[in-house]
Amino acid sequence: MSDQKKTEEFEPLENYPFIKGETIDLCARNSKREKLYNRWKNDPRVRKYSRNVIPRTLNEQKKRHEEQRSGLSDHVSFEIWHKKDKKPIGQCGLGHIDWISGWANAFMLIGEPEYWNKNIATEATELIAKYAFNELNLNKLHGGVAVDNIGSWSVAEKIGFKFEGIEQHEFYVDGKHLDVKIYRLLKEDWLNSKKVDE
Amino acid sequence: MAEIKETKEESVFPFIEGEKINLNSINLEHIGLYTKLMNSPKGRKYARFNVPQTMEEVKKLFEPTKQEVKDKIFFEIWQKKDKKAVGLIGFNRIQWFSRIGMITCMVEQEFWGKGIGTEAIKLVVDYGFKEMNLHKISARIFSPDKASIRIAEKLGFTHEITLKKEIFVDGVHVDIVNYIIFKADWMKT
Repeated sequence: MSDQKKTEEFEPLENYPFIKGETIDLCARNSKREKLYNRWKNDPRVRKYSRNVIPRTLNEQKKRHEEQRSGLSDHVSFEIWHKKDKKPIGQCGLGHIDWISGWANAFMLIGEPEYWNKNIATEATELIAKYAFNELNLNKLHGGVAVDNIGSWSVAEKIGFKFEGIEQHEFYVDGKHLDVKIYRLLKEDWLNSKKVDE
Repeated sequence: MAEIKETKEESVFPFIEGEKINLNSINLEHIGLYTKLMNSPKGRKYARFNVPQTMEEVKKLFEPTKQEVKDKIFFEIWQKKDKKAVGLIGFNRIQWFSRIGMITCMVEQEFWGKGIGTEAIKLVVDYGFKEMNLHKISARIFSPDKASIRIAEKLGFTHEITLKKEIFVDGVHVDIVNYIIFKADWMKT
């Protein structure tokens, strides 16, 4: 991609971290960066295992996030900001939050493939878990990852997510029915693992 | 031009015919029954209706939407002998690319234990595989709901996964058990 195009979709903006990490910070979504987010969502490499099967237009995406929300939402999303390189590289957050049973689905997208395999997803997931358990008072986090998506499920295992079993043929990717590995992280297990570390 | 007059009888017609029951299209005249099902303490216990549902809210669930492709398909369960609507059944989350449907079924309490749920599920699974061309059908059952587990097993569903302490019912976190059946296995029976 040309430099000019890159500048167009990524305006240098002042950044207000909401959660601070080491390599990355988690910030609020920024409506001025919808173009960038839209490129990530449509990138064949990025969307492969996230089941974005239908192209998402910029307008649709804007609309989705412009909707006036009143009260508590079942969705929280962050932008992942790379501190050293001073740029946004992905999104993560909690979806399908069930406030009664106390769980949520943890999601993660590193939109720039050159930042894959650099432990960024691991750090972001750790920050999300801490936020979910210590700020939102959730009890459990969910993760479902296609068996072929080794990068993502090894992140889950590194954080301490427990493998609960397989859902058969749950995804359809590249002409094949894929099994999905189901992971769960209970707050009490996560708290206990922190104690051991200390 | 003669006005088309529909009697109540004529407005009830089967979409799928069974033995004891038929599956009809949703009938907005029966919103009272649907609302009753979703509010009844025993009925809603394993169906995740934790807040009261008003008639207006329930009606909204079944009113036509602008969605071009439905991700939900529901039927009314019609008991032939008593000529009465006794429940709801359908797929509440259809994933068209993976071809997976998830079953939801609610039957009025006084008709429990009469094989109505079993027949309704059998009809809807048949419809899912033979008309909708689904690949897999699943049922998420709360572990204390033994009656539903028995129906699933009787119809040839197999246990796929247990999600520990997944759902909050009556003051405790209980497990969810997933039961599934693939089209290839259903067609053999």
